Amino acid sequence: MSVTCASIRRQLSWFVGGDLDRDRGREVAAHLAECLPCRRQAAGLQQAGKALASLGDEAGRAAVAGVDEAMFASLHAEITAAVADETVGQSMLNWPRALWLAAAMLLFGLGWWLARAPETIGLLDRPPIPAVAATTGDAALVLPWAGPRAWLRPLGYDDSEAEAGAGRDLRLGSGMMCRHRLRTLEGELLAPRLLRRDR
Amino acid sequence: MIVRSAFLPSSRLPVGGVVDLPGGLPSAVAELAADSSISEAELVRRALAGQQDPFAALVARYQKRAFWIAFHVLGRVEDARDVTQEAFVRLFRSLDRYDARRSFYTWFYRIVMNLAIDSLRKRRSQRGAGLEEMLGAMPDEREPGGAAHAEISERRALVWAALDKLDPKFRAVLVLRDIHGLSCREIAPILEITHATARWRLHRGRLCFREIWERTVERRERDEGPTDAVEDGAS
Repeated sequence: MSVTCASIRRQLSWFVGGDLDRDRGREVAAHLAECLPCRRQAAGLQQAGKALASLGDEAGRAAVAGVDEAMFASLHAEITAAVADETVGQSMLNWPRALWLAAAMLLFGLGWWLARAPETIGLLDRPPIPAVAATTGDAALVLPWAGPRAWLRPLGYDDSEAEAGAGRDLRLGSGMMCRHRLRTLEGELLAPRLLRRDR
Repeated sequence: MIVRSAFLPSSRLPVGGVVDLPGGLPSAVAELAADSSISEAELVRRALAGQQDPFAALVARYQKRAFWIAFHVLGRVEDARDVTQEAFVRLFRSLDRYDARRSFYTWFYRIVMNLAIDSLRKRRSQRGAGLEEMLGAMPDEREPGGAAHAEISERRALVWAALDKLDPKFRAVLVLRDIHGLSCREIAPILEITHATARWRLHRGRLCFREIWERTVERRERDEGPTDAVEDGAS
């Protein structure tokens, strides 16, 4: 295959489809008049194109079973009915109605949440434990989330040393820090010596 | 505007205003659809104002073209009907986004083609059903003039079989260009590709289709050969 043939064959699909400009079309036609292999290629493309186009012509469309004027009339009716349903759906969802609907759903959701909220869930949801101080008589147990600052001993702190430095309790923190300690010591929370209120 | 029931060679609304309207339309809708002085943009504007007839007129103007495009992509009447209906419902939902400065049919055909290609890809596992449907429509050779019809129908069935083997992206371009007569400049925005890509796909698609078509015809001739020989031998 010569360079010319390769170049022409790249343009054959456009030539057969009538998409080449006049000058190029003439150039391709002149080549095809002299070159049999390229002419065969062009003929193959042309036959395939004609076969494809036959699906769209009047005879091709008329040959399709079940497609006639009655089908198109019923299709039109179906489409307009479907669109009418859409219109009804859209009018039902106008803004005031949507706002009322949202408010009602919000109220329902709130009621549902309140009705099924658990009484106590974790440590922080439990009520304070005053019973500890009452039973030990040593120090009032102050839970950090209850408000006042608390005096804590560090973990592993020797009690006897604390007793020696009486009145000199170590101030370790309060608020979230205490909460952290309490959480860490959740298993020992009821040991009264770990927590002391500043007297 | 002239109203006729014959099919249009091209899917564009032609200059001069020949519109292929379905039968059985309410007179108000038929008048609106046939009135060439009322543009699609005007019909959209009236539909947005809450009138129903203008949208029904839009449906009347475009439903056949939408159906045939979907049919040539999908190859099945029922699927094409579903796609056409869904396309108009989507069109109705998005009417407020229509830019009147742009071509209506490009915008609408984009909806149709997207739905059709999606449907085709979903249906790929059921390949061959379209061919069966086309073969089912073949006339009986025993009927008067049936042999000639049978020959034509068989040829069409082969075209469908070849088309069914094409990749959807090539098939879409071939359907729009070689069956519905749109130019590459019109096809590019419909398929949301560049003009160069549309041209390349058309070129590749034609070459691929020719190869498949020639193989299909050769196979058919090969299959028919021994049958003829047997018949000759029997006679």
